[in-house]
Amino acid sequence: MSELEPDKHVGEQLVSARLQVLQSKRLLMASNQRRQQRRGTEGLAERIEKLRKEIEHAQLAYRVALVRWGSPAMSDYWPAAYSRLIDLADHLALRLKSAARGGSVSRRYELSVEVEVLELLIQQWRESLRLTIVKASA
Amino acid sequence: MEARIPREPAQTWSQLPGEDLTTSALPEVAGWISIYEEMGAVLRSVISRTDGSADMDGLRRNLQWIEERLGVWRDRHAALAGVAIDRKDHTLIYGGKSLRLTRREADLLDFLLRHPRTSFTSKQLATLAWQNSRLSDAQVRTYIMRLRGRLRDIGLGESITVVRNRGYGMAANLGGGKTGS
Repeated sequence: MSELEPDKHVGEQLVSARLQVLQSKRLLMASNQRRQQRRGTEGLAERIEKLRKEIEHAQLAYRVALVRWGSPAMSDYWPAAYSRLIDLADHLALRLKSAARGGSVSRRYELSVEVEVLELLIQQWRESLRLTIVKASA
Repeated sequence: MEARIPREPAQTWSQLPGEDLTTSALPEVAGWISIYEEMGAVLRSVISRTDGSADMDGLRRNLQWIEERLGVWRDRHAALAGVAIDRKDHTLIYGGKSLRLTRREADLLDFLLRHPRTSFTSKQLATLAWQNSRLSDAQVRTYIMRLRGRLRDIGLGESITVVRNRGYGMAANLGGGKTGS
């Protein structure tokens, strides 16, 4: 943790900091869920829901950092890269589909071809994601 | 008499490819461009960090397709906005008016038009739009302000937005008087 470390280490530190945020939120969530199961406290439901959203944010922030500053040598790198691509393509396909709904035939045709290719990419990336997860856990 | 004409199909078939490019679609297209840009950035980052992986060829093809679509949507965005830049003589044409720009102004405007909804710092603009990283922040700011002033003359004054702490960008609705993000 030297102050004079080169820039690439700053990136790696950012990735690990975001991972720690994610892990601590997951621990908090697990502890709250255990408490809720043991005591059946109604008041915890709201807290758990809030934590769930925070975990989603932390997960996204971690993935983005990992793809931006991480290295393919890191075990989470490939799953994060493919997940990010899938999320983006999914989001885009959804937006293109909804835009195509009200348009002319030519516009609908153009957008549906584009959505089809995006769905093909999503399929490829899902397969690659599955393979990287299998490889990482082997 | 009019009731015999089916309204929906008539509307649909009367439009030829490209004719439905209404200005209301401008922010929509800008949104697609920014998602494509992010996908391209992720792919480029992945490709640059890995060598020799079996997936590389596939990822390069994916990137190629994304860049092709980006090109198409960027052109479409400019067409929707009604803005055309003649790169030979640096002339901007908008709303039937033309404006002669300097090479730097034309490069800057063209770059911003092709990257809607994205903010760029002065340093990024100097490097990406002009390939000149030696320009200072103050010089870039001067170019931006001068260009904004000139664009105002043809009704595009609000097209370049200044986003506090983030830099400069292109408004989603060109000429609509509304600023972007």
